[in-house]
Amino acid sequence: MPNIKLKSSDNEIFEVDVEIAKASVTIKTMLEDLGMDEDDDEAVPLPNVNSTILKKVIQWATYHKDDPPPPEDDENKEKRADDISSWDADFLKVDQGTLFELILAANYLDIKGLLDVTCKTVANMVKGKTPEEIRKTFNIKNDFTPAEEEQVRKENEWCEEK
Amino acid sequence: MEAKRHSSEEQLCDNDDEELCSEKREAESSEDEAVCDSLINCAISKKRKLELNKNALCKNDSNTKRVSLISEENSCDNSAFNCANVKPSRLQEWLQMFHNWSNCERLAALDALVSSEICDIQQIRYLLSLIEPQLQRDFISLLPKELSLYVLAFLEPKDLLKAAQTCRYWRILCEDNLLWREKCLEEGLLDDNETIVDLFRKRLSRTPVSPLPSPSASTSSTASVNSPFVRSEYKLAYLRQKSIEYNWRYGRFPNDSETSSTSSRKCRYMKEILHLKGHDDHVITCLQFNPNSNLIVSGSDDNTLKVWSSKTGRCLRTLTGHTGGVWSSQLSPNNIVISGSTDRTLKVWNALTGECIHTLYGHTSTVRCMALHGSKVVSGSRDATLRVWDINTGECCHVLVGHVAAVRCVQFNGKIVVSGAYDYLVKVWDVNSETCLHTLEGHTNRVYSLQFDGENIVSGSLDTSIRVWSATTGVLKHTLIGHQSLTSGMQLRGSILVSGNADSTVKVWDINNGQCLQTLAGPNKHQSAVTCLQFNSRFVITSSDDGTVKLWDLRTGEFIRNLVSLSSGGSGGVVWRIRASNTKLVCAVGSRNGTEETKLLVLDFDPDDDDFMDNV
Repeated sequence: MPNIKLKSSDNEIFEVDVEIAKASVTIKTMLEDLGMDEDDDEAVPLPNVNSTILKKVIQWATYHKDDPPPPEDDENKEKRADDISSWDADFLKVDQGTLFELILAANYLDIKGLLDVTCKTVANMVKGKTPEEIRKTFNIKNDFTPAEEEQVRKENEWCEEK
Repeated sequence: MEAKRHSSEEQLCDNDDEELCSEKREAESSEDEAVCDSLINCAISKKRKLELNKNALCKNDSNTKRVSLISEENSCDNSAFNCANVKPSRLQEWLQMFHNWSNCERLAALDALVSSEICDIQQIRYLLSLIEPQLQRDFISLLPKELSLYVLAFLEPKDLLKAAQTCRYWRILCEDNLLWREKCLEEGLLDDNETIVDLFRKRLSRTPVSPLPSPSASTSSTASVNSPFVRSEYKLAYLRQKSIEYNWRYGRFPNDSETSSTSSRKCRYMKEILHLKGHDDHVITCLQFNPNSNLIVSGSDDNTLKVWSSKTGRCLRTLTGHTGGVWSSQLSPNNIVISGSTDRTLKVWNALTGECIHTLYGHTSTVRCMALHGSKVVSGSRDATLRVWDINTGECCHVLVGHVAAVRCVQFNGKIVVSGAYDYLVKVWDVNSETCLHTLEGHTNRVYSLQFDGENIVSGSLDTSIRVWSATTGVLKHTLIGHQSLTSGMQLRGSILVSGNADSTVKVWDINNGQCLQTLAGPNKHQSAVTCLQFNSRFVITSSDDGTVKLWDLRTGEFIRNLVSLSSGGSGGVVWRIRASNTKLVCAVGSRNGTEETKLLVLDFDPDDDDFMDNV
């Protein structure tokens, strides 16, 4: 398999199998639009991804290289967050800062599978928690006035709790 | 740069300023390695944090939940080591040295600091408690909005409600109209027109436009912290529907012992059950309900029909004129009533004025069944014919001749008529040419009930079987076996069929494969023949000669509760007919032996107190 070179924002060069790199629609389009040749020695610049994150992204794409293409979103189908594979779950045992950057990278590189699994991971951090627990999880300041807080509590009351 | 750091350190020991700290953090992050950066920031972090964390340490800690300790607690028991006012000598120099190192040097220094004997375990724990919040990210506030919404879309509604209470910005994003539209779609709330009309009624009554708020009117494109907070129509609809469902399951009626006993749940009282008395001691043979106009029409073997308000329970009109019992009726969306009688006629009425608009003559025996489509009504008679009438002009447009015994049930989609008769046959007719397209042979006894969706015909018979046929080819697709007796009533929604049987059970089928999915039976089953049923995407409601109306879970087949249980049940009290809307249940009850007065019961499960519309 031919390789191509990817250049991170901090100028680190990664040599990657073309097919793996093409998990990124952004890179795939770049290669096609720019007519970048496989023999080309020029590295594809990725100014929005640093080397630490790019390394993770390549690791993810390599593991998932034989996955079938992700299905199109169906708005009638319930979006689930509890279907993360154990490999992905392990892979995403990272600090919030890294997870945050991975989401941005997956979005920029247009890798739906990675974007889904990272966003699901964040959703799972919210799931089943009280507002106060959510604040603690993400270090969020409660900026409601007491009156607002009461109002917000009321408008978000679940019928079973009334 | 230098000066700034200076001032921050000084503030460490007297008055800290959060703004300054974060400002500096930003300034530095452009030139320095992020990891070291945050460490420096930690080292010269806020005084309050220091105190609180020392606090944590002093509590001689098994503090595994470090993050939670950075809270607003103020009690301080730091007799062991009170570090609040300690200012290490030459700290400045120490930090400066660190600052001057290269990235690799810094990392080596940190390695040495943390992994050697230099720090004890308490100090390392302390370090961790400083680092961890630095790595926390408020994803929803920091990600681009479309990505935050993408994350939120993975949450279930219950979690979205909690997330909305976190802070102002989360509240705005969690109110996104498109997000809630998706939740409504996932729940199937937008599948069914009647539900949509009910859920968006409030809006409708104010602005008589399209029943569905367009998703493009979403708040999502404009929401920002400064714009006024706009509530999502779809979220309101979702919450309303959940509340309605809750009331069907658990709501209690103040004037009803059945539903107000049992259960330790928090009590949610509905409005009182309405008792609509009429038709003396006669049988109510047919029942119609238009939830949009709040009209109920009951037909009786006392030769009359009565028009009632489902809101007030008042009898608005009594439709008199038939000279025989009324055995079938229809109610149009614009409140036209059509009735069929043993007097061999049909009558067309204005339900609001009570005026009889037309009397339709032609049948030579009892009019037993009818189906309305637009301005055309098809009637089936004991004279073995069907007639198609125009209710505006009162003229008989077509006569369908072919059955050799009484026609008992009919379905009509505007072009095709399907009829079931006591000659054991089901016939498919083309109305315009008055020709019989198919005769569906197979039942070995009288056909009593029919469903027709344009392609599938489902017929229920006294021979205990239910048959599924293709209307196009006339071919038998499936024979549904399992009931023990006469199938008296059925409803088809998509591929799901629910059948009520005189064997006292109700079955849920998939007509695509002919499988029985559920049998609504068990310890709480009906005690005698099922008389009527209705279902939606959640619930099946069934009535019976045993005097009860029962609520079941469509998916699991579980019995939920008795919605009605007549005290005369078992000794003569029966429920003849039921009709339900998204929020209301209308039941026609009575007895043949005088134990239960003939009447309608109206149960209202609407959680909203304000009246949206008043058409009556």
